[in-house]
Amino acid sequence: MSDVLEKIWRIIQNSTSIKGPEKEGLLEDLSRLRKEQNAYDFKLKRILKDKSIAVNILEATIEDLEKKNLEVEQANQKLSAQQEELQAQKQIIEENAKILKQNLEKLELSYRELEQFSYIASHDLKSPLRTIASFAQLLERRYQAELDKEGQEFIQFIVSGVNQMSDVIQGLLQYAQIGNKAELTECLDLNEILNVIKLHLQVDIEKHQVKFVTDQLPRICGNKVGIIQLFQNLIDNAIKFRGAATPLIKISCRHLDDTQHWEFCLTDNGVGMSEEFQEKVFLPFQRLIGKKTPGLGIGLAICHKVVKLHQGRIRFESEPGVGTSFIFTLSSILPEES
Amino acid sequence: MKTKSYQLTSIEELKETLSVINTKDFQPTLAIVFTSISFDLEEMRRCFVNANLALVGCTTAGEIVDDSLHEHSMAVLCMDIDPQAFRIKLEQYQEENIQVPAERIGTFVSESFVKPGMLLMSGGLAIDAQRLVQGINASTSEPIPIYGGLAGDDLNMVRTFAFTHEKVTDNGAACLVFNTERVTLNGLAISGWKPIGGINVITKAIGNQVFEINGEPAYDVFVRYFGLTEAETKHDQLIGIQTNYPFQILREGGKHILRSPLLVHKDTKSISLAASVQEGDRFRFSTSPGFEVVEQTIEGFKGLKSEAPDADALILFSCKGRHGAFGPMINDEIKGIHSYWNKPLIGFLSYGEIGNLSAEEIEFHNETCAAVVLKEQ
Repeated sequence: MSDVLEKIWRIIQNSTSIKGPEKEGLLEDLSRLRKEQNAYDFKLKRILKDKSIAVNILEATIEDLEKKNLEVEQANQKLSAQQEELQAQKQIIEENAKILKQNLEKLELSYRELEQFSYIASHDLKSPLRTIASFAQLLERRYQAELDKEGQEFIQFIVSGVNQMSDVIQGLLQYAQIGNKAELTECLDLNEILNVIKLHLQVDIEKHQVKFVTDQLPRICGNKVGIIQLFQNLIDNAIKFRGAATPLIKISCRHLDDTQHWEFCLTDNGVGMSEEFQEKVFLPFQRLIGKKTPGLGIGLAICHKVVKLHQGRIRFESEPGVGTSFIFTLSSILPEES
Repeated sequence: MKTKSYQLTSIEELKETLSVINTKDFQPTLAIVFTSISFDLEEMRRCFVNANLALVGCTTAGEIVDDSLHEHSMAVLCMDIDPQAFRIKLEQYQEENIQVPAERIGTFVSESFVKPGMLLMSGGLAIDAQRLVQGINASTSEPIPIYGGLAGDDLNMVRTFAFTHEKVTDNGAACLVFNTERVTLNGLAISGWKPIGGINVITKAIGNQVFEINGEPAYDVFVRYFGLTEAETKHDQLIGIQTNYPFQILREGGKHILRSPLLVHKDTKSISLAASVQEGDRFRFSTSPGFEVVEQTIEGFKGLKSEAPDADALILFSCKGRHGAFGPMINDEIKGIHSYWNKPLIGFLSYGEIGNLSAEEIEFHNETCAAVVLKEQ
């Protein structure tokens, strides 16, 4: 269109028939028209270009959105698959948990039954044992003259065996009695507990001139009887298995911040023992040094049980001829809190 | 303050004009010049030195004088102003970090006057203009009015220049600082560009160079979104796209700012914007919604007219992208703005503008028409 206007403009410009103001007016009108046409052409071109760009941008946006949508769908599918897998795993875990719970219940029942059995058996065994011992002693007293030396010796064996069995039963009874968590709520000052133990073992302590080096001990919540047994058994062992030197028992403690436990270390300068007995030593009726040494081999088993009851662990470090350290932890908080 | 505007088409014409410029009623001391890159800039500078006129200005992508737009010409504004009321500095960008020269400019501005105001024309295509403005503001005790633009080069996108009577540089800024207790500066920038398409994310960027958009090479996104074929990715086509369809960077509170791509790096498949962006910035492409923006812009400057009803002169920084979008209608916009004051006006088509959108703080923009009203107190 602008080319046509250009041609007309030239024709009029070169025309000799159109003259004067008429010519000027026409040229002026044509110039204005040309400008308007140019603007119109530009607008048209611009609108078309903008439209084309807008369509492209929108198409690219849709393309990107579809791509994102596909990605989201794929992610969703992946997520669904993962959820299904998780669900399956959850089911397995739930089933396992169920089985575990059932096993725990069975275990608890067995444990309770075992404790009950041990307790009953111990009590029920004690009574006939007392009868055997009494009648054996009565037999010895009444028929001493009629029994020869060998017969009297047999009776001695009976009494000695009965006493030994009675001690074993006593030990079993003690071992079985430990384990009731409901009794862990007592607040105990371990310094006082130690004084009580020193009174219990006063005879042996004085006899062997045992020396103690002790940290200021904390207060803990726990089972009083059990804690007394724990410390008393360890001290008793330290005296029992003393070396040539005067027995020295060191008791130290520290608080483990990260685990909310107290760690105790009871060290002696006794005969020591091989660390190969690390596991065995804490089992009931294990006597490592032979039967000449007094005791049943139940003490450390009780210690182990008491420590476990107080959510702790026990182990020992020892060097034969130098001494032994028992290191154990006890929870510093109540079982309900933990 | 007396002012006169000139539209000149040659150095000879400039010499002639300057030779008779001093009259009994008009003895200018300062000239602001926006010129096409087609002239010998050194010779042009010497003309003003010989005429004993302080000079400040830059090259353009189109020159505006009074109510019309010109090409391959010089827009000259001569001002009969007390030399004590202004100071000029040409700051070279010696360092890679734009922050350092920005701070030097800020210090110069602060030391010049108690209440300064500045016109800033910056050369250099790859400079981060937003950081330049921020750097200047950071080194002044309180925010100062800064208006200006990024120099052009007739859309060659090769070299742009700033100059004063002392020097011409393609890597620096020309600063004209006014004592606003003597000469007030009131400005406003208006855009009108509208977003189009979905929200994109800048996933890799260093300064003002964008490497990845939505995890895809920025150049590829650019080509795909604008539907360019291999043949169309030639220089001219790209420049048209770059200047007409800027990124609308989304900001908090529903605000946004336009950033035009200035350079395309095919080798690294990246794009340099006129100002820095951050990785994670979200943006939409934008476009002029139509020719009604011209009317809306003229209407928008009514606010500036009521704020600064009288003027001795006007400076206009109009984005080259607006010219691309509005074509001959850009003259209507210029004419409309000029008509509010009917005073000498010069301006240029720029590659970026410094000004304030309505009551917002002064920032670097693209695709705006930014006007500054100068009035002697």
